[in-house]
Amino acid sequence: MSERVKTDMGGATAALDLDAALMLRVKEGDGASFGVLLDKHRSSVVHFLFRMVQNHAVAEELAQEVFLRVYRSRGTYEPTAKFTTWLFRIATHLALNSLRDGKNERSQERLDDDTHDMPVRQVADIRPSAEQSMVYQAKLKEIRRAISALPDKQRAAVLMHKYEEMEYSQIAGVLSCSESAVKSLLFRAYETLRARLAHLA
Amino acid sequence: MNCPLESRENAGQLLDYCTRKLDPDVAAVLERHIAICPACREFADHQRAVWQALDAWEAEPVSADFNRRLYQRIDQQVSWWERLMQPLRPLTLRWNAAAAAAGVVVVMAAGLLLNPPPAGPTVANIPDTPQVESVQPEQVEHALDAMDTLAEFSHHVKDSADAKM
Amino acid sequence: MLATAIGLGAQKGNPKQAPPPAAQRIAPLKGAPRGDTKGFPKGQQKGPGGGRLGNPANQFERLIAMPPERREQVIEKLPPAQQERLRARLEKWDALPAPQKALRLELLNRYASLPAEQQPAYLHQIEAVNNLPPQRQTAVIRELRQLWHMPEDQRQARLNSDDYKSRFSPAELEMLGTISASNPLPGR
Repeated sequence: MSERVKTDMGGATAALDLDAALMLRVKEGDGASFGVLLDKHRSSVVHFLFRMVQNHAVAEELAQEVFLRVYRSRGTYEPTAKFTTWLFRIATHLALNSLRDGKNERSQERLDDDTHDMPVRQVADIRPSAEQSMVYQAKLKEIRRAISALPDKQRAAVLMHKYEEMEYSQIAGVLSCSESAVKSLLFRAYETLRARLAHLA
Repeated sequence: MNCPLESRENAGQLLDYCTRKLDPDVAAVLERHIAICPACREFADHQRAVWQALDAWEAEPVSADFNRRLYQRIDQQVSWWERLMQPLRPLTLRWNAAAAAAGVVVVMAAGLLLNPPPAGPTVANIPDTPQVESVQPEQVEHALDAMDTLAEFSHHVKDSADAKM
Repeated sequence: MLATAIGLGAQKGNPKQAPPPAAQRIAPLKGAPRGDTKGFPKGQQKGPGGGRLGNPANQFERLIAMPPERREQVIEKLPPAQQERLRARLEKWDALPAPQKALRLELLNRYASLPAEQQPAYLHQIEAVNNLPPQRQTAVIRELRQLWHMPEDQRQARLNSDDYKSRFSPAELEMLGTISASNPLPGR
């Protein structure tokens, strides 16, 4: 949730989200503000990219590129949109490029490779049984396949809608399309996912 | 009310209902409809099931050295111009374009006279053997960066040409 | 390496409200190479291209042409952090399909044939175009595709026209001016 702050810009007052205010300070040369933005958004960017390209190493590399571009663009940054809209626009753009170029064709983790999919957070005294683990792995495989089967833009829209909890208007800003186009993307995507995943509940 | 599933436009309302983003009054009306409409009830049930399934897909934590690697890349890619100018620019100083332009000219001239840009990067002190040659890693990485940038641009130009067809 | 700020979020919405570029430290390309098309100068595509910066194309091509064992011997001489980074990037390169590799090498050599002092500015502007919001990117590329085929006097007239000044921000005009001087793409 963005926090609204007021700041002076060249004499005029404007309401900015906090992230945009931080980015303006980065523009002024405040490296610490870049660190704040990085720490705040790093995980969500990496996780979004991971679910897009389904390869953790590639996702981290793309995320590095995202923040590198944010840093490089600091000199001409203007808060014409929410900071996260801009951030995810860069991330989506790089993810779509990566998928289009097939860069991770040979490096994409095989969907039946279970080693990366075990949840890291496990409460020590509640260990899944072998059977529970197998059920979990099977479920995860179906989820990843279902997401992977979505067209790239539908995939991006669903991931932003579900995991980043973005509003239609913000997703539209990221994908540079209308809100009605976003709703259409989501409707078709969820229709596909309902057909493939509803039985898992 | 008309069944939302009769049109895609209205079906989005069901989606918003499932994510609790509907206005409470509208949600209440929709809820009464769902109670008597099997198709809408099934939609809502299946949609919740999809979200529950997606909730199970956790991502790995970000690598502990992510920030360090990023700052290393940023540091590597800062140009020699910025390195020259960094001592003259306090972090909180608002950059005055006119003063900057004058300062750049002076600093660059001084820099070129006093501190010629390095001919190559870091491996100059590693002696070459007759068998194994060295490369300049920054140049290799610059080549890779340049190729990525140019290839992306090439895609955009191609997409633009294809769109016109 | 890639120093000057690149506009990105600024270009969303009305381009006329985009701010002027940051204090300009790198002079844009002026003038165009001789010739009818705005390709890179003939006979220079394999040339050294670079002065003090060396020729990255040569360095890179030398490295990828080495047998794996020899490449590894070269990389092992580097500091550990650089080793790790270079290995990862070369692994990505190796995984590219052959046509992608060929295209990228062609692009690299055409870029490397530019005078060394022009290369950073040129690449900055290419990246700036890559980072534009889609509608602005389409508009800029559409103009570039025309500018590349214009005689020099017509190209300059178009760049300085009131029409361009009303349709493009100062940052976009800089992109158009720099990139239209030399077409980086083969076969155009």
